[in-house]
Amino acid sequence: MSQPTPLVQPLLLQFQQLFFLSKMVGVLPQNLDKFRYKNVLEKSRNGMLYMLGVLSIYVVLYNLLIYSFGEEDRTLKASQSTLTFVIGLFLTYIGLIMMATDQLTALFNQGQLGELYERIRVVDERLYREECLLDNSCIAKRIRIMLIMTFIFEISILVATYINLVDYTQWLSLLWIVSAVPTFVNTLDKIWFAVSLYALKERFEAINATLEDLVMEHEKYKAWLTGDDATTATVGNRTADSQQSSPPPQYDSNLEYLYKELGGIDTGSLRNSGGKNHNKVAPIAHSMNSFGETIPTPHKPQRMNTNPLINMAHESELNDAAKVEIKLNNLCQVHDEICEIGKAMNGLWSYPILSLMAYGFLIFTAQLYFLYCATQSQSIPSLFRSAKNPFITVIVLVYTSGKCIYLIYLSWKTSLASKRTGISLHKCGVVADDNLLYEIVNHLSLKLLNHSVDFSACGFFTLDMETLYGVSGGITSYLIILIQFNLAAQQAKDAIQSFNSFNDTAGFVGAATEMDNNSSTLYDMITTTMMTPTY
Amino acid sequence: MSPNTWVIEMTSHKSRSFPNPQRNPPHPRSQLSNDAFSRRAAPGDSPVFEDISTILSVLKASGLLPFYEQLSSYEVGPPSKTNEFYSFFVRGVVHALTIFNIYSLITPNSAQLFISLRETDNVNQWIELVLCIFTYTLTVFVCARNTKSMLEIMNEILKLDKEVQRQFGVVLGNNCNFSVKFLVVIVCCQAYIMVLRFYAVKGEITATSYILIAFYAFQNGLTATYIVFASALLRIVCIRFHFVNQLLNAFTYVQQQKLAKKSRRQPAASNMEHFPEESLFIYRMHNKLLRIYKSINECCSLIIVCFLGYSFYTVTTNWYNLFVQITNNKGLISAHILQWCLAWLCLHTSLLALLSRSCGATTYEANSTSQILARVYGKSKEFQNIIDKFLTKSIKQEVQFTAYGFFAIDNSTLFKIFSAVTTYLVILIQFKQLEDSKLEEQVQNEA
Amino acid sequence: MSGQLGQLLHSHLRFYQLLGLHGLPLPGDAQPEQKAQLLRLWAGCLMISFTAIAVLCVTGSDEFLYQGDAFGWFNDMLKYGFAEIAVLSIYAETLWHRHPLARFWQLYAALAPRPAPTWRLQLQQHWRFVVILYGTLLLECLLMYSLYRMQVLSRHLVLFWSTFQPFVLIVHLRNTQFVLHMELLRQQLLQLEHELALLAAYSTFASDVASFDGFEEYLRRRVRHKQLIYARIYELANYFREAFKSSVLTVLLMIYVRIAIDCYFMYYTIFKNINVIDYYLLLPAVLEVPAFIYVSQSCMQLMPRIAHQLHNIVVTSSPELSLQLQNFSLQLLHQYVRIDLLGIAVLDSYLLTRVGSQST
Repeated sequence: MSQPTPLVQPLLLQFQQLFFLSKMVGVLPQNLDKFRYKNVLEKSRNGMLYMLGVLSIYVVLYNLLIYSFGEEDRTLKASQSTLTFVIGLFLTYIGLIMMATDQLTALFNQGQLGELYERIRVVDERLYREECLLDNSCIAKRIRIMLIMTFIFEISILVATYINLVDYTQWLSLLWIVSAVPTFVNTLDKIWFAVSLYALKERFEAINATLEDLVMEHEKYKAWLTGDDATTATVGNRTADSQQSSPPPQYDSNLEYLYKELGGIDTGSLRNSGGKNHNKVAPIAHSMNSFGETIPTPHKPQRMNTNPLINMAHESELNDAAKVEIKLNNLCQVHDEICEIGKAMNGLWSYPILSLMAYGFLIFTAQLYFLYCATQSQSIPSLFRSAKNPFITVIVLVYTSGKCIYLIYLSWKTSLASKRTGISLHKCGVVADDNLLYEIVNHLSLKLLNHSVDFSACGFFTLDMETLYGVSGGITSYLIILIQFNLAAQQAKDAIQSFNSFNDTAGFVGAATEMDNNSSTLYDMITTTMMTPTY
Repeated sequence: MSPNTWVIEMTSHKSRSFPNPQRNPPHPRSQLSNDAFSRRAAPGDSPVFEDISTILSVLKASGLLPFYEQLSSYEVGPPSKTNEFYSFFVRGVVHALTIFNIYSLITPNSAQLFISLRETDNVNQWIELVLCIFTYTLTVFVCARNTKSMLEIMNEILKLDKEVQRQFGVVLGNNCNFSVKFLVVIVCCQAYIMVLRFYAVKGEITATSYILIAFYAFQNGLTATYIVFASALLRIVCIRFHFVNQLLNAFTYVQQQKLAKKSRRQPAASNMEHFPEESLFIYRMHNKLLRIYKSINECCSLIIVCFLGYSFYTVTTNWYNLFVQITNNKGLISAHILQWCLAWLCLHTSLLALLSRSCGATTYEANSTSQILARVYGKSKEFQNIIDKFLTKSIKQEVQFTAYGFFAIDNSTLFKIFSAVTTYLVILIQFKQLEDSKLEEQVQNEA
Repeated sequence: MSGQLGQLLHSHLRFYQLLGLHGLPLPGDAQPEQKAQLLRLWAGCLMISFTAIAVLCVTGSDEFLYQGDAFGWFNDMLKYGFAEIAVLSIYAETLWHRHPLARFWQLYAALAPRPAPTWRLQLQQHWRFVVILYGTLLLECLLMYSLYRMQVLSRHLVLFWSTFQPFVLIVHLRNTQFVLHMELLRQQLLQLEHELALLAAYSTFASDVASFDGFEEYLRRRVRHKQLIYARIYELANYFREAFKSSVLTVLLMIYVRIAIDCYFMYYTIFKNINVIDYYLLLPAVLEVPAFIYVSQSCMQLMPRIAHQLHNIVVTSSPELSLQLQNFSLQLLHQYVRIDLLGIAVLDSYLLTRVGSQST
């Protein structure tokens, strides 16, 4: 980096632990030293080789696992219906496919990932120049929480399954540990995505907050201009500025109960995201301090200071149209840039997300189906032995669906936050009530309408909550189909078995099955010959 | 070819052939060094739509497209009388053959074709044949009706090219090499399938069977070719949209910033002053492209719906057959049916992917114009008004390529089709297993 | 004195308070602080007791669940499970999620400072809510009574219904609470639409017949005023969504699961000629969903009408006015009032067809 004192802390500073961990496990190939000293992600050949080596080791071990545990399956094939077997075979490999997709995409994208974070840094700088600060420190906290959750889930699933359901007298059973590798690798990769997405969301929210601050300042300014009696004068119409810093006196007696309810938070600084208000200020100071130098934070502390003192001389930026225009233009451009970054990020992770969604869907359905099979004491593929225990099943389901749903939820929230910007912009316009500003706002709002950030998996489906609805519908209908047919097949089998028990000797049964082969071909021939005249 | 040579070529071109001293800002041009735009210095009298000429000639020969006359390098005219008569004749022959085929399908003449062991397989094949015939007949009818509008579309595209050529001195390439590849794939698959069928028939092959099989392959091939043609048209439109977007992109704030950085070293005027005139041209072009896109949609959508239905059915049945063959407990996997299914699957899947991809790409390009425009930050009110007008217009205008209004075709269509296929597949397989176990039971009861 | 809300709303909110659904003190309450504490305590008690009932029923050895076969047992279990989730989410919201609700009522009080003075007018104002609330409640009681009279009661039936019915009641009352809030929202939107229509009428009158000096400026100010109101209504809708974020989903899910299971069993029992007619009790549940969706849809249907009225305002000469109108219409585009289940599905009648097609 050329400048000696960078304006903002790079986002990647928060990713330290995650990076080391994912480097070790082989999720990311980037250079370790560069990251440690400069906080940048750079291509590295050694990392690539290491990753490929790790991937091939995983593949070999996993196949070994399937082979060593697959012996039970061979007997299964004879007894089980072919469909269950084929599904099982497919399902055993989907985890591996998912892991390979993650690692290979990470390999291919190793250069672009660094660029992405560089772009985010540039955006941060611009945001800083627009005096809208944001705080990265909670991202590190998030990463830590997610990592801990992942460990808890993985280890509890692994240990519970190993103790309960694996025959651990053989040393080969230690291979079972490998079965947790694909999901773990995948989760690490997804944590990168989720946290970066969260960072983007924070940036959108920072823009919104800046806009809302403008509004609030202007309101205070107006209140200061007109004095206290002006607010009471406007009470006659319904717009009585109840959102202003001081609630109109008329309502005081009646709405007191509500203000008490909102207690603690000053009504003047109330913002829509009520829950987030608590730690708004402190972390900013913290993030600045952690940087090791005192950067004058020009905007926020001032706002906080002026809050109690209504009568201080206020200035509102919204009065100066030219200045505001530049500021709003810049914010709009940053908004667009963040949208673009979001799209680029989505592009980088599109295949992993697609494979994750496929995996989630299949595993969820399969786990439930096999749980049903297990309760009916039918045999199930050995890799899905966790389905034999309902509690482990619940953990697995929560873990898998949690991953998918969290990603979907986060991308939905991000696009909501990006849409929220337009609303805040309009608030600015309406509050200022100035023709010049109206023109600017109209222009920019049209632009904002055309900024789109929507996340999709390879364009096949968008990641929003409506997809969740479709997916859950799909899962239930597949389950119902599978279970119904399982029931029917079971009934048919029972009928055969009861018939077989009627015939005593096994030899007779063998003869019967042989005959069955012959006769079925015979039957086919009869049907074909019968059919031909109809055409 | 490096951008440099191209620029030189272009300027010489401009100075020679076009006296009209259109302002030619250097900057947007240099951004246009995209591979999608192939550059030829002077088009001369080369035939229009050179890239897709193979596919065009195939379609012309089969009477699906008219034998248009080429009036100039930027205009095509209606076909001459003899050529028109030829197209009529071909269509007549096709319809006659179709009627013959239907007749032989509902009489026992074609019994030889249905050699499969299972009753349901035969029914499936029969339905497939009928669907294919239906699709192709529909294609022929729709094509015959849309002759004029097809020519109009071509003319519109050519006119647009001409304008681009005049304004910017750029000849837009079409980059439709994929069409030839797909044509080869189609021919190979169909020939292969035809041969397989001939081999599969037991005993002496009657003439009727020969005709049926050959005509079936012919129909399939032509329908597929038509789909490839539609995709090629979409690709052409897509490239134009892309060109428009690239033009606009030069005005966005990102590019402006880059320029500003550059101009610190070598002072050059911002190209923003050209924006009003260029943007007018761009809007006009975008509008025209949208119109072309819509008319292509109108021309092709019925055929595409039919084709989607047909290929959905084919893909499902073939997957099913494949599955049945693989999980066949009797151990005799018939290599012949395997190859057959694989050929079909390969053909249809690739066609579906091609269609949905080209539709998706075009729709994406068309819709991203307004997004790019939103990135243009004009200094003065005049610029902002220009931008606003377009953006307001585009708010309510989400462009989509619809399948006869039933659903929009883009990448998600592919996903939907395949998820539907899997659902049906699971149900079908389950039914088959039930049927089998019932059968066993029956047999054992008899024993 | 019932403060700002009017007697009708006041008494109904009190009713919800008693059930632990409304965790805020009402205007005019002495010592709101303590009242709030008390309400939270009460809601916590209710939550614990409901959970205790559910746990007892699921794990108890008595015939709370259908013991006849595994499938029936599983279905009863499912019903209890979803009911428990719904009740948990409801009380969790009353306990810990009161902030958005408080903001909702605050904004509402700012938007509609004067309630209708008499009972009659208030009834007129809120008739939809009143009809839905009392209609479903009465129907429920009636059906319970008729079941009690007509059905030969086995031990399982008595135990099941006496434990399950409270869950159903709470969930249905919660549903009517949604209806109440949405109804308030709808009234605000409706009023805005009326006012805009009036403005449009003024403007046509002014442009056709006579205009006075400064009329355009007056109109512009009014439009801006409406814009502010609209922003506030949007916030209102937002807070509604925030306040009932998860319980909307869980309540609808529980009703849906119950309908699906009971419909299946109705078919099953009729098919097997079993003499159990408790499936009649399903009827109120079937009515709750359309009631909810009807209200939410009528809320959202007002949006295009507002836009329409806005564009009816005739602009003669003033560029400022047209700018303001443009701003408003853009604002409408940005802030579309949309009521949905956590973003999963929009609540309109289209949802009914989708759910219907899925359940078949």
